[in-house]
Parts: sequence; structure tokens; C-alpha cells
Amino acid sequence: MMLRVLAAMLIALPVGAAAHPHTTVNQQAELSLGRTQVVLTYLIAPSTRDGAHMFEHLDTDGDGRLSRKEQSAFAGELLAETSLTVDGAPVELTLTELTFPDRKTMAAGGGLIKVTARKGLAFDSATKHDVALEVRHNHFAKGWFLQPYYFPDLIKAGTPPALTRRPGSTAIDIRIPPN
Amino acid sequence: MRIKRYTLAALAIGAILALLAGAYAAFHGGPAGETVGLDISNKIKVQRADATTEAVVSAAKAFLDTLSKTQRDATVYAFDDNEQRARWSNFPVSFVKRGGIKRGDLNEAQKTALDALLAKVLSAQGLRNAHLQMAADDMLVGGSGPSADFGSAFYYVSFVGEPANDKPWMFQFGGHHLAINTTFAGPQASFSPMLTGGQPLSIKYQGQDVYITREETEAAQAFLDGLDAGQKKAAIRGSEPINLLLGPGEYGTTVAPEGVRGADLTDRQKELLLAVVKARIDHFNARDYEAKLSVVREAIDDTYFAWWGPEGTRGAAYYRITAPKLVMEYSPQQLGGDLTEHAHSMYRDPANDYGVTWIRAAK
Repeated sequence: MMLRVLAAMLIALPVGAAAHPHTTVNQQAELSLGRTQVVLTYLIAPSTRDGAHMFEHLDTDGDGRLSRKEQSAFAGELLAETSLTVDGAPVELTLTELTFPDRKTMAAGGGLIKVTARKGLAFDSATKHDVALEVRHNHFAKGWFLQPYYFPDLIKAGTPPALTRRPGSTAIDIRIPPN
Repeated sequence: MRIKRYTLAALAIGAILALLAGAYAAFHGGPAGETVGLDISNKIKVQRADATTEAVVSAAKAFLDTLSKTQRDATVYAFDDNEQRARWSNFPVSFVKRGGIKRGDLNEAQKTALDALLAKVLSAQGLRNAHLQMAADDMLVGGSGPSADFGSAFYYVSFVGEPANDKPWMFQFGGHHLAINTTFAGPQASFSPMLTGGQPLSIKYQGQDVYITREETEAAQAFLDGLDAGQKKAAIRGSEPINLLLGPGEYGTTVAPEGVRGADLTDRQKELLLAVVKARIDHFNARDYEAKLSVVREAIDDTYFAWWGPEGTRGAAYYRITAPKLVMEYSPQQLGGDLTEHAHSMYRDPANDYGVTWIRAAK
């Protein structure tokens, strides 16, 4: 059964056009955290089943291309449905990178939507800090895998931050101890 | 039975080639390549080599002596060649080209010399694992559809720098699902980054049924089984396996430690955790195995174990061990719906990937 499904998928797939089509939409948000900066990268891998619909959702003027305006609008959707706080205060991220596959690639379940946003921080090392991230954008698929990474200045001495994944949600809490 | 089912799947392997590489590629839009922007020091001081390094260098030179000049020239790269240093992947060579000489182009004497070299760099278990992974890849040969370079012929050997007792150099051997990158510097070696795993994992090898990652996956399950309820709650982070995080392209990345912490384990549980580490690093030769084990043991209180996926099904869960000088991941990949037959296993030393602490220029 699975082989039949895979074979059927292959028929619609121009070899080489999309190296790795996916059967389900895969969503990951990577939070890179340091004492002087935070970078949030959304990664969405379209699927063979939903890629075409995803493109239609993004291509609001229906011209078959994703303009910068359309890309920014989607990135804005993501940010609007994201909560990032430092010590309880919201962090306003600035978009810095937008990458979208073309329609053919996305419809074949290939390529990768990548949206990056960042903000400067000024963590002092004498006190603890709490960072919380939640991504609620579930238009393409339910749920996100949230993965934090640390810049060297956050871990070069002492106990590493404590990471908690909130049960039943796509939210994480990071407590940074004083050094 | 599992092998039979897998064999059927393998017949279609060419046709579904685009699907083989699994979840790691999901967030890289295709084969991810490693980039190593490493500024090599011109003042590297190497301590006097010991018997292990001398034996490795001797075996490396013996292998090189079997090659023609053309082959040798294609096999040895300059030590500052970061492009070759980083040329490894979980993908077959059809997708990510390797440097060096192809195993399939070696004659029998050259293959014997290569095995002798691998036997010095690796342990007996490490050498066996390399052969198991190549045997598994041989099972992928001959599928219908678009052709791809599967099989034990498509594993490459190369050197970054000339093998020497008094200078740093690197030995590379690998292909689909296998990347051995060992940097030697006098009496020390770094095996980081190292990719193992395999596809399929259930194979017949020398008349025996073998599950390639059996020792490690069973050790991981035994560790999990040895935790109490509270510890297990800390260790199990999710019910589904997640994507590999530290594969090719992730040089210099520091993943957040999480899961149950070594400091919260009993002595017996710490030994069970070390058993998981041992099952991976026992691919190294005895000297480097002992050196790494000692470092990991010393930092066991700051070592974390995290698990995503089902319990009790061998090879179906992702797990990660994060320590100050070791990160290892076991990442099941989807193939025909059977996560247990395709795994990517990454080992990195975040403090000494590619031997940077010995060879990087001071800033």
C-alpha cells in the first residue's frame, strides 16, 4: 500500500525538480538565543498532498508567483501568531530573510519556506532571565516542533539554561541562570 | 519476515529515490552540505605520536603505497582544503559528491590495505559496522526507476593532509549513511563529525540475521527502562520521533541540552547512560574510545538524555545525548512507513569538531 502511494507520488514528481517531497507538511521553528541577540527561523516543508493548496493560500493575487508583498504578508501572519517574550515582555522581531519555493516545487511537495526574524538583546549575566516562545500558526498543519539553539555567549560558563516544553502545546520556556 | 518485506521495498527503491533521504532533508530543501570556514593555524604544535597513531600512519602509508600516482593524487588533499574536509553526507553520492577514490575502483590488494587501515582507525566493532552499512547499501542496488549510486562500490576514501606522526591530518571514509572523519594530531584524534546508521537495518550478513544498530538501541531502551517515573517524565520529550538536528550543514551549531540530567541519576543509571555512549564510541580505536569515555564520564553530571517516540519498539524512537564534549543523536527515518529500518546517527564533539582545538588559528 505504502509503495503504491509512493509510486503514485513519483508519477507527479519531475525527477530532480524537488529532491525530497514530503507526504506531510512539516513545521519547525528554531530559536537561536544568545545574550545579545535572538533569531527565530520558521521552516515549513510543503507536502505532496497540500503543497498546491499552500501555494494558493500564499498567492493572494493568483498570478502564479509569490511577490515580496505576498511573502511578507505570510511572514506577518506567522509573527502575529507567535508569542516571544523575554522576562515577560513581548519581543518585537524584525523580518530579515524570506525564502519561498516556486509553485511547481511546492505543489510537488518539495522546497522549503524559510522565514527568519531577529532582535537584539542585552542580557546581563548577573540575573536570571526567562524566555518563552509559542507558535500558534496552524493553517498548514497542526503543531510545530520548537527547537532552541544557543550562541556561545550563553553557555560558555556555568549551568546551561533549563528548557521546558509545555505539555499539549507548541510552547517552550527557557530559564537562563545567572553566571 | 522483516527482511523479506524490506527486500520488496528495495525493488522499488530507485523509483522512490527522491523519498529516501528522510526527514533530515525536510528542513534543508534537499541535500544539505556542510560548510567549514576553518582558518587553519600555521603554528600547529603536535605532541609526540604514540603507538596507536604510529600504527595508523603506517597503515595509511601502506594503503597509499598500493595506489597508482593518479589514484594517489586524487586521494590526498591539502590540509587546508575545507571543502574536502566538509564533504560528507547521509545521502548517496548521486546527490552529494564525495572526494577521493571510490572503493569500487580499488583492486583486491588495495581493498585489503584499506581494510587494514580502517582496522587501525576503528575498533573491530567499528570496522564491522562499516561493513554492515555497506552490506545494507548493497541491498538497495538494482531497484527500478531512476538510477542512483547505491552499494559498497560507492564509498570513498580520502585524506586531508598527508598521514604523518608529527603533523595533523584527516582520514575520511564514507558514502551513503556512513561518514568517518577522523582528525589525527600526534597522540590524539577527533572522530567528530561521524555519521552512522543505515538502511535497511535488518540484514543478513555472513549468514547471520543482524540488526545493525541493535547494541545501541537496546542500550538506550535499557537506560530508559531503568529510570523512575519522575526521571522518565523528564527524559521523554514527545511521543513522535523528531528530525535529526546535527547532520551535515550544522557545523558550529550548539543544540540546547534537554531531558533528564546526569546529576539526577543514580550511579547505576549513570552506568546505563554511559552504556549508550559506549555503544556509539566503541567504533573508535581503543585509545580514542578510552579517551572519549573518560571525558564523558567526567562530565556525566552535566550530560542530558532526551527521547522522542514510542517506548519498547526497537529503533522507532529518536534520542539524543548532550554533554559538554559529546552530542549523539539516533534519528529513525521514514521509509515505507517503517521507521525501524532506516536511521541516521550523528556524533559530534561540539568542542572539537574536525579537531578545531588543535588546528584552528588563534583569533
